[in-house]
Amino acid sequence: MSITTEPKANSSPQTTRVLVVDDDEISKEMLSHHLHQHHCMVVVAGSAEEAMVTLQTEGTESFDCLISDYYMPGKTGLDLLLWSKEIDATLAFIMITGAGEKQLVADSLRCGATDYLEKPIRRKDIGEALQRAVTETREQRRLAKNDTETIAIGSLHLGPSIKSLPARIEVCHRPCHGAGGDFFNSFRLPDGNMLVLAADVSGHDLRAAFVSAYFQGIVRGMIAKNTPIPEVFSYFNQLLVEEWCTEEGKPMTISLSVCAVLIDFHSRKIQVYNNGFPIPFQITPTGQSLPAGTDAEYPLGWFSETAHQHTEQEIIKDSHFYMWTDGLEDFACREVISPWALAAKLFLDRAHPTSKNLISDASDDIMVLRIELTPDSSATTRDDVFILNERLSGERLGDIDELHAFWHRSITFVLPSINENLLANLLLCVREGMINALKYGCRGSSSQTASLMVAYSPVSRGLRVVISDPGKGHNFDFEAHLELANEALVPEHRGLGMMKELADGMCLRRNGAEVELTFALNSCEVSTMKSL
Amino acid sequence: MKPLLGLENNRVKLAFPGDILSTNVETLREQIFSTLNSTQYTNLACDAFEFDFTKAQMIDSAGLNLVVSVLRQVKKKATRISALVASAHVGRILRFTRLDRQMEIIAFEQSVPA
Repeated sequence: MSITTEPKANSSPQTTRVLVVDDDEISKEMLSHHLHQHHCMVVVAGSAEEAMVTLQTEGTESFDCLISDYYMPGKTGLDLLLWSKEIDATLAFIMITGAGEKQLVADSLRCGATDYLEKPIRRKDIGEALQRAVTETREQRRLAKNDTETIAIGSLHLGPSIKSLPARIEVCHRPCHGAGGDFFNSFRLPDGNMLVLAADVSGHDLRAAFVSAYFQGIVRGMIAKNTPIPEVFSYFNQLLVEEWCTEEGKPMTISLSVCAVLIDFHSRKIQVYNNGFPIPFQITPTGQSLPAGTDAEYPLGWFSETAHQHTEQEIIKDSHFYMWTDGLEDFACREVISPWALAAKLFLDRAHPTSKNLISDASDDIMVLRIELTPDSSATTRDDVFILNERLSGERLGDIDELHAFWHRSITFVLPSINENLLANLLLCVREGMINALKYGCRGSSSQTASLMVAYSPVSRGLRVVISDPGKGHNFDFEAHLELANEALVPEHRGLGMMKELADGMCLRRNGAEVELTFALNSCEVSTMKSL
Repeated sequence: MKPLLGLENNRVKLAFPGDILSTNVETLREQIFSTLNSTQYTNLACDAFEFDFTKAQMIDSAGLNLVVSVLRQVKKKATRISALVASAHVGRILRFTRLDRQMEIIAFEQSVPA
């Protein structure tokens, strides 16, 4: 049960109401005492679960700030943060952590916390954090009520016309708000090369829009003067952390996740500089996925010292480079589909207004970019979109039914009217192929991975599946075996034979360690039971 | 759900409760063969056997191997074997493995309400 305590005296005209969550009675009491000194009305809860009940019964809008300890029995402060952002993104959240727990701080900020406090908490620290948080809540609520006051900075492309750039860039951008959030930019460099920026600024108010536009201007100016990207990032981080303050002299508490991709057409190399942005990928025409990095460091604006992750890749002929913001991953996760499927759907439905309805209830901006790295490509696969592109370790063999359901959801999300017999044929082939790859190619081991790619071609109206494992393949003559098995009713080894029969085309490579299957979308559309 | 194996219209009927896949095939095998090997079945004076696949939308290679194993066993006794199939996909699986030469495949079409 939550308990409400009143401020001691001098209540301000607009009383600040704070929900404090901590399982430790002494800490809770101390914090409440400090908050009373700041004229707050305090409601306390002893666990994340209790806080959830309080927020549901009293309404999130009745609070101006939520302050929670990270470590609690049952659900953690991070669980509570994610839950609260799901039901009311405007309510500011302050996380309490132990001293020096940088990773917890990073996780909390990444998940939407406004600020953090380290134990032991001093009254002065609370005052500053509380003021920022309450201001943030009230500002976000004002904007939510009157979104038309803001301007559509988020959806503007502030660079030159995309058509004039040396590589084809396709962008799908579905902002949730009129300002701030995700943005991209692209520049043709003096040497003929190209720079693409994709970023996500925290917040959706005019301040975020200002930061977005300012950053793009700074990059353009500094790049024109041949400043290396790391220096540009470092300079902007300094602005965010040390120079820009509110009218009261407080830090802005605004952050920027950004990824810069420098495409060098002469040396056929890509340089990727990443600060807190989801890892981008180069994808080969056969679906091989080459992640540009492993850990993207922190966004700009979090800490005084900043480090970016730098990755260099060779450009592979006819490949594409994909970048997307965390809003895409979050929405795909919520819908239990592959992020590739969501990206594919967005690209395919660009011309149709219904695609906006598809993600109308997304809680964050969604942006995905696809860059054609070899503009002179004449590959027939250049317009293909990927529905699935994943690597699975051998130990996932036991999850095959769960994976099957995930593949089913992802494919029907992109192709909702796919013929059910074709879908059954396709899914069965994927299942058979992946069972073989995980069981024999990876030997069921957690250290071995198999890859699965399913691509759809809107030009040929066909689907292409590539399954690859690290094994040596086999010398099994499945076609001869199938003849024998069918005649003599041999109850084994029919998997490859089924795949060959159900697909419109099958090609084995590397002695069968890689299999490519093709399906024509129209091939099953007339099949009925009468054909039996 | 257990596969239903019973006597209906003077024929033994094996009704699969759903898809026949690698993840449920061993359970199904155990249940089916425990009945097929029982004296209750072996003493039954009935030479007709029907596979009911109407609830199966998908049969993978492990599932197909089970069907073949059951068929081999059933053929020792039954002379008239049929398979009731609702899904075109399942029908295709049985056809390409030439099981249509071993048993009569009957298309099951659900009645449409007027």
